[in-house]
Amino acid sequence: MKIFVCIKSVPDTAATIKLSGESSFEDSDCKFVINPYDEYGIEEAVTLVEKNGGEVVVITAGRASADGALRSAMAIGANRAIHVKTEEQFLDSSFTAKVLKAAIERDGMPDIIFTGKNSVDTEGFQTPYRLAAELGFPVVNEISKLKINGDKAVAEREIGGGDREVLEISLPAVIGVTKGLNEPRYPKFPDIMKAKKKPVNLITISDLGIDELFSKSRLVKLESAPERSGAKMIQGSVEAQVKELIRILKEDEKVL
Amino acid sequence: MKFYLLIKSLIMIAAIFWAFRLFFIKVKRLYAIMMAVEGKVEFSPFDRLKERLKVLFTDVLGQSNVRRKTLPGLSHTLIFFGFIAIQLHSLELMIRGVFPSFDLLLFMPWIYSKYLFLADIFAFFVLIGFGYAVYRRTVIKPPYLTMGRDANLIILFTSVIIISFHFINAFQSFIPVVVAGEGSESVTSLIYQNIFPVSGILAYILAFKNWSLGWLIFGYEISYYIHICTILGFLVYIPGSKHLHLLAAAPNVFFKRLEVEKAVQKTDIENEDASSFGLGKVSEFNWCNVLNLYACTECGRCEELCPASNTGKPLSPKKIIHDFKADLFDQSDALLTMADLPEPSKNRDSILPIIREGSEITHDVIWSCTTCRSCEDVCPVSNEHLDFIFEIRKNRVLMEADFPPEMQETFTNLENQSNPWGFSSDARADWCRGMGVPLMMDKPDAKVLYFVGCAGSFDDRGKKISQATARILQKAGVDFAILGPEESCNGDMARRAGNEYLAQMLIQQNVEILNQYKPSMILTGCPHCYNIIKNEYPQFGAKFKVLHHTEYILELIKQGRLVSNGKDFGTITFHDSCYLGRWNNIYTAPRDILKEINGGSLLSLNQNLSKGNSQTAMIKSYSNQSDSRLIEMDRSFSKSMCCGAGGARMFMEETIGQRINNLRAKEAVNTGASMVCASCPFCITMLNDGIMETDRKIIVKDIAEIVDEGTV
Repeated sequence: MKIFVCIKSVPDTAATIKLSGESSFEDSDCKFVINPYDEYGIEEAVTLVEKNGGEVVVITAGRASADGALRSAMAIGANRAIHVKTEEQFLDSSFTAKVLKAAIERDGMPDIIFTGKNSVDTEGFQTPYRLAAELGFPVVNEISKLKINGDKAVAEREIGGGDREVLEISLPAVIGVTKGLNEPRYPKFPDIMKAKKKPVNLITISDLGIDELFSKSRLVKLESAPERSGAKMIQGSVEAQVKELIRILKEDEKVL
Repeated sequence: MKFYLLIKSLIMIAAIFWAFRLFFIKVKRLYAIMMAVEGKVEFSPFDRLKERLKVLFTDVLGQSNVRRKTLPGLSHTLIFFGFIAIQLHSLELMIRGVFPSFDLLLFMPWIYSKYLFLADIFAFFVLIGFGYAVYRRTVIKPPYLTMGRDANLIILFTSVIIISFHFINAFQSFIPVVVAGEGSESVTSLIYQNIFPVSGILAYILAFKNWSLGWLIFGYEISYYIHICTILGFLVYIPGSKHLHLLAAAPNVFFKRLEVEKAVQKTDIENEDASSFGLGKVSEFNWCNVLNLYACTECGRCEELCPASNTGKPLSPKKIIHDFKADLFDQSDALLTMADLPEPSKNRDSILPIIREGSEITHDVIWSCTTCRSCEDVCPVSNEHLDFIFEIRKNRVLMEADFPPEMQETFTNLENQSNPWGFSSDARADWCRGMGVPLMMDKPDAKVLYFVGCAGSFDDRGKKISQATARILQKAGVDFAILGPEESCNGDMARRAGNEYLAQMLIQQNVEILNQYKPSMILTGCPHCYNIIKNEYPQFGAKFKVLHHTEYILELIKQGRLVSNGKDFGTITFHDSCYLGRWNNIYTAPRDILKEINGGSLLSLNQNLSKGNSQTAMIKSYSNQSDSRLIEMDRSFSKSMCCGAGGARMFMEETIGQRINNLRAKEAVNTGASMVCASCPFCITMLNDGIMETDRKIIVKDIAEIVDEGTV
């Protein structure tokens, strides 16, 4: 069984992002981690391979610093990695999908491709679908329960209101995963050290024959979210409080 | 008679030879095991010999540690000296068994008769000691004192030795000894009469003077065989029993760590040849660990004080030591075989992991420890239980990634944001917004670097404490600055949770920054920061003067830079945090502050300080003071009970047994004080939570908050 896990190196959700210029940010002090949803994919792939044999290949399209994420993935059990080097953190999903497809095809076709349901930096929710379309594979996303039966997979996803949708898909397929699928393991120390020596196949976009300028969308501007101001406590009698509230909504917040 | 004596000497030669041979074989094996283990000892057990000899005098001869429990200590002291006292006599008897005419009393009558007189009294004291031991085991029955076959056998053995000793002496008093000449011309005399005070009474009661010489000799011989056989039997029995402590306690104490302050062992995680890290198998003990195991006599004092044992957790420090020892002995064959082989063919796989199917030491056992160190503090043979716990946790985390699952998020947060909660590390200085607290990067030559810590920077309660501390420093005109976003978690939690890799990463980050600023003093608001920066950062090349805020505030008060405004805080009880008290011996500073700030007078403070007595005397003087405004809990000073947060327990679920913080909070409430004061943000959180569960909601405050409110 050959399983690809597409991962992305993203700023830690707790990190404070300091913007610089129109559309970039200072990333020297910013901690980058594996996109949290991708971790479920790695864990699932590693568990499947532990059970059935085979190989887990992690793949990313990202900047040089994404190497850290690949090493972390290999520390918890991925066998090797493919790193398609890009200059930008924020990539267009259609571009990412093309790049991933080309790199996967070059490496040899997989039985399963896992992705996170989305990346927590750009929140595009696009890559799994676009990648599947590029490859001509079936795709399911936001999977929180999975069973592999030969060349079929039975996948479950929450569809709101406590209901679950159970889907059967034929493999190979792209499976986007989310929280609940498993508990990603913590790496053992010797595995962290071993991961530093596992092979990473470093390729460039031009190696894949893709036009670097191909992109269907473009990042124009980044803006910090306004800081939340503290809660206001309105004092006084009920009548006075209501009056004051209406005044605030009308005059200060201008929502009425 | 001559024939009998010949037979007797042959029997004695055989018995003595046999017993000593077995004894030496057993001891040799114990020594071989000590030498076969491969762990490294981090401190130097062979340095400062003078101090070590002094320790032998105080701890072993002075019995200072045993006597910390008054009656059992006294009982042990009587038994200890009694047994030492009869050794020469026993040796003489053995020699006399082989050479019947050997008699020390004839060689040196004056001195030996004095010795026998004293030995006879001391031996009787042993019986008094045993009397109390039996009373304690049958009537008082403290729960931490488990009664095994081993313990009963030993009391039986030793009682027989002492009773037969008195019988031998009693019979001897009435048996004439050849004092001169040979054969029929020999002159005999009752030289032993009137030497033995206690045995003399025994002889008087049994009216030996009316017995015929034949019966007296018969009685003597019977007592003799019983006495010597029991001694020899005991000799053979000791090395395999818990009374191995007779042999191991003194060397264990001699080679102990001489300072109270200590560090978790620094593991060389960059060593690529290492096949394992931490303590996974008995072969990974160091020889001091093994000596610790040998020295334990299962007195249970550790278990009596252990916060885990006291709240129904599966950990007992006594039992874990016993279980390590049992596993060591179970696997000693494999261990010794492995040790004999040259390096490439050493088969370490033949030794089973300590934590395995059916093992007594389980996951819950090793993760129940709060690292409060009361077991080590109270141990009469100076065992260091935590060295085992730290190393075994290290092995579980690094080699198996096995730890309480809730710790995974904490580890990840520490790794990504350098704090256990996962707040953005950029927000580290947010607690002092608008307070005018400078950052080190803007004021690199500030005299005092205030290391705020994670709780002080991010926890809502902790932030109030650091704000109070900052205001105090500003009031006192201290030239200080903080690291802000340059500060990382100190590494204590990761280290004590066994994640040495993560801990070293965090420590390195701080060490680099600290070495860059080289502050003349580091002030910490948290005992955990204080302890690790002071005692463990030197392992990583950062040596600084470190003060905890209790120490520093007291200094500022003494310098007159902080003056009480006379505010009355009512009655206060002080909770000693483990990492300030037992780990670093700071007990008096916070109490001095509380006396001064809470309507005390500078006079009383100065009186206390000018005494300049030893720490023990100081502690006594505090405990005895009937200062009605500072009330001590049942367990305070070095006996203080942990709040439950130490050893990274703060970030683990507490699902087994009673909650430790609830127990401690109840104790604080029971003093009747109107406020409980602590000096650790984690203790504060734990006590706050615990007090919610009690029916009297008393106030919990950090000493910095009290000083902030109580000074001009």
